[in-house]
Amino acid sequence: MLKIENLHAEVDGKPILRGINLTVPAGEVHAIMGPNGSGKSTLAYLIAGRPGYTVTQGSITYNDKDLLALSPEDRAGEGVFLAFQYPVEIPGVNNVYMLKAAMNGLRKYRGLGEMSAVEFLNLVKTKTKEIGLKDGLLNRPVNQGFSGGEKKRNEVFQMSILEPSLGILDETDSGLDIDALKIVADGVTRLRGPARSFVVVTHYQRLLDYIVPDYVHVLAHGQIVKSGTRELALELEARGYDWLSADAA
Amino acid sequence: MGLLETFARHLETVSPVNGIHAARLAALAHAGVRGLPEISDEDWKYTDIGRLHRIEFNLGRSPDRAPVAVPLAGLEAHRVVFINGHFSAVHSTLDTLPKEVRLRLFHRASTEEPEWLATHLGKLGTGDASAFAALNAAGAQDGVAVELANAYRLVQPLLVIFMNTGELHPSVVSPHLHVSAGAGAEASIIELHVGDGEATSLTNAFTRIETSRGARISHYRAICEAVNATHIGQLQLDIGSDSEVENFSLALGGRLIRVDIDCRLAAAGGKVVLNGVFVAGLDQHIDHHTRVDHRASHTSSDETYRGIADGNGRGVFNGKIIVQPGVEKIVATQASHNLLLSNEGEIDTKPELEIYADDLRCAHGATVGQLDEDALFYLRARGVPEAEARALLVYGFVQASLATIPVRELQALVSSRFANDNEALARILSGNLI
Repeated sequence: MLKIENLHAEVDGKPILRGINLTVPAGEVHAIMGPNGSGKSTLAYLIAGRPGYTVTQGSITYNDKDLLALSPEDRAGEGVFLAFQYPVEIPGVNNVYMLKAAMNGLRKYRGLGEMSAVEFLNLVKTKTKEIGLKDGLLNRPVNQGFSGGEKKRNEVFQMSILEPSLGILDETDSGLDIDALKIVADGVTRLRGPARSFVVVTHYQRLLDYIVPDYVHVLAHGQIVKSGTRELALELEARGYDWLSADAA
Repeated sequence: MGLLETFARHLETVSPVNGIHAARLAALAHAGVRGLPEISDEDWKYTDIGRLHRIEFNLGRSPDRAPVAVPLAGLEAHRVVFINGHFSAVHSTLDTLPKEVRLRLFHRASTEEPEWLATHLGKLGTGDASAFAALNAAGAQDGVAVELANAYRLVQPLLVIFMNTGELHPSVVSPHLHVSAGAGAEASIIELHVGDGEATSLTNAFTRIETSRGARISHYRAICEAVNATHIGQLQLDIGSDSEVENFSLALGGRLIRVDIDCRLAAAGGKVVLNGVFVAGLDQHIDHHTRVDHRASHTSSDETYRGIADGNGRGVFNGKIIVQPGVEKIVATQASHNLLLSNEGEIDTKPELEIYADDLRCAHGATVGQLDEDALFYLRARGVPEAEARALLVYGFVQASLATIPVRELQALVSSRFANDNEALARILSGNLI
């Protein structure tokens, strides 16, 4: 279970999050929606452990572990996976090598031995087909020369290989056409299960047609101003965000 | 005793054999006149070779134990192997060479063609030959000269390995490789300098490649010397009309490495590609000085160097491009990308352009940066531990260049050497994935 309590965070002295409270039990999908600049991505980054943010108050725990005290790789070891809004290009580092390093890093953290090359490659092959990642992209440097859609698909591909227990999707839908969106959403839906939860950060309701959330939270000015069920997302689509922001301000 | 005196003393102990000995003495005298470089020389201001004067070198040694394994054993190639300066017949495969490739070994030529060898060495004892080039001629225990017949295309690469096996006594070896490619000839040449052990030995290598009209040569030169070794490498490229030479200089192992690449484009249509990768780690100093001289119209040069400094390592790249007066239609590009991984490390990169003509396209750029923090976070967020993530990014930085080497075995050798100090990286790179 992910538990965020009274989380305050700032960047360069500028407050971004002002008291977030959020609980995501195992097996649930929670959507975080909100206008640009509301702090959605900051929240995603803070869960994953990106440097550059200062937490001034509050806590993030996952399965009773204090995530804020852990390095990004140890958080990944605890089961956290962030699908990036802007996946980073890494010249010269082959996609498969990166995944192998990640897989073995995670296994080591969990006290498991390394996966054999054969086992790993079989896994890669199966998932490549499932996600519809072009074969050629596997051995290319990470995200380099990938189209926007291919990058997002690669994020979901990595997630399906590494099988986290908590997936944070940061605007995974942005830049995707409807076909790519379906494939990405299928990939996520396939991963859904009683032991796995998701935090889906999105600006638009569209993604939630395919990844149906259990709860929807609206973030504005660094606070969750409204929570509800899926119907809230539809209402937001119809009415926009202004009515909520006005309430918060 | 200084280095020059050591050579003089050594030559005195060798009984004169026809003109060859005279050529060596003349070369030594030339080196004396030129004088060994000092840091007060502009071209050597970053690189102090003072240590060479403080080491008691032993020039008279003979080959001792054979190395346990010669690298690139799995590569299908014509092999010429020298161990501690001497030709090693058991490791070489000269009999596979076709008649279109004429190969002369110095130790054989000294009895079979003494005049040729005297003339050959004599060229390094006159004119503008550098002191180190002259010293190579004075000291070369053995060496190889290769002539490729006109229009002949050598299918397998020519692999020339200079191995120095571990010994306590500091030795001097003077590897010598000379390639002359006839019109339209094509070949790929791999020149490896490999060492092990702890000795403070000196490799003073000289390589010259000259091409005739339309010849195409790829030349991969890798330096993986022993930890305390000094490597001085002189490379001359003399490129004929419509001929193309690609050179790749990889500098990984050795305490002090200095490579001078001197390229002459003296005929129309000549083209040179210079690539380099150097990794200066703990206590290492690696200096590349390149000089491309556009002496003829319609010539082009394309140069990309990638350097890394880590620990207290220091890397130097100095790239000079000269465009002579009166020539036209020149294309010259140069890029120097560097990664500085520590506070104590140092990178000195300097483009030097001497342009005396107008009709040209010339671009150059130099960068010194650190690891991309976003990429580092991306890898760590995937579960890659920080140390491995850093190693992967560093590897990725050089891989952008290494990936262009068409010889997979050489790529793998360099990658594994590169990963030597990093167990985690070695593990990631091991196991042939896909």
